[in-house]
Amino acid sequence: MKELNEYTEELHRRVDLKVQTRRQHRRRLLAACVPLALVLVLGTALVWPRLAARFGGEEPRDGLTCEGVIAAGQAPDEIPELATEQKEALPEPDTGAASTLPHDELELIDDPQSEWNAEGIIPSDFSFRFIWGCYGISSYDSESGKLVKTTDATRPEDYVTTHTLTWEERAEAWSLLSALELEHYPADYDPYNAPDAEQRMASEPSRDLVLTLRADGSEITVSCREICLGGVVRGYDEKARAFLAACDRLERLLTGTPEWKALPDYEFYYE
Amino acid sequence: MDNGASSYRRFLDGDESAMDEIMRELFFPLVFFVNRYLNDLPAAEDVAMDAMTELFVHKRRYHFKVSLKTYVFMLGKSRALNYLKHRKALRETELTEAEALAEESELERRALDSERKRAVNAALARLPEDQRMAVHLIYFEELSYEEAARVMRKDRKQVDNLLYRAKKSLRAMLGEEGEELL
Repeated sequence: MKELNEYTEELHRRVDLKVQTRRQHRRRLLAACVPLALVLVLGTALVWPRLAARFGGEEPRDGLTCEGVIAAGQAPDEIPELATEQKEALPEPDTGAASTLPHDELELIDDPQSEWNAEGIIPSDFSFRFIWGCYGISSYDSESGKLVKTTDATRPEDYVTTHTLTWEERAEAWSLLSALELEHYPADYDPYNAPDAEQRMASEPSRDLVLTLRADGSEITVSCREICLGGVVRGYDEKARAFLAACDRLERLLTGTPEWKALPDYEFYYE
Repeated sequence: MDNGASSYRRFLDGDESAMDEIMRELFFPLVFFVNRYLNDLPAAEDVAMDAMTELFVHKRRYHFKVSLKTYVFMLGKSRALNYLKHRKALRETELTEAEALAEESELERRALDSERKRAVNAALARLPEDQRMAVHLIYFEELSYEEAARVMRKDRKQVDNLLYRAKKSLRAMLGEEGEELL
């Protein structure tokens, strides 16, 4: 057996070695953890706003609110509720395309339709009916998918087709209609003339706009019968302008579908 | 007597010489104790050295709630059992039988300070392991029953029973002489 002092020297040597090894391990751990922590912090900073917008719906997503993104297909001027800065942040509307959701936003969602529906953003029973037109009435009912180009034809049945909304169109329609809050509009409504207006705006011919929203087990219809054709004339207040803008957007959305474009040209034109 | 706790406090305060004092007081008894598990002196030295190293490297693990000797013996026991688990992989030194006997008797001389203890130690080899450990910790290392129970991971009553049976066996082996030794 060795003497005690030899064991003691051995102990000192082992303790020093162990302490050094522990220090090395700690340094290596730190060296590995610092970049990892940086990656995590940066990753969180980049991903969090998108996740929050996707799941919470309250945080801004690339500078847009959730509503702003969906309404991005509209010309900014047509969305009176939006603040000026938000309007500036909106992308230019794609008037020719049926789908107006920004492409990069769509890529964020693997199965967007099911996720949107699963989160209750769009009620499962949501549908709408939209009637518009001057002489020949055009209409669309998203429940049945029936799309009518005009009723003013020798063979009206040639002007009827079926269009099922894509999920983007459905999301856009829901966004437009839910933002309008149709329950705050009278059932018979004239967006060009205030109820107490002394002088009434009118045109010959006139036109009809009927908007029906079905969601959460209820149905709301706002009918605008024989109202002014519009054009240069704008709605009499913000609410009216929002209504007209939504109708205009819906019309462009439906007339932009391939099914609409496949229908024959109007038989009668009016000057 | 605080079984090295005051020395350990001084070590924590930066006094390196306290390490030597603790080694002087505890190292050989620890090797002797560990060797009861291993029956392999070089391995017991190595394991005891490991346990002491752990004591001085992980400075804040010892919380002074038990005596330092109890804590060191607990470390030694856990290291010894760990060694036994991996014995085949760890075995490095083989001694001849004669060398081993000489080494063990040298260790016994250093660890046991009286003839009386050495006489009992000779008979202990024939006892079951638990009884051997109980006698070792209480009669040789002079730990209290509670401290011995901590080291052995048993309760006081079990240690009591082990000691009772160990004494009975020793009496049978050593006769009246053995009774006097205990």
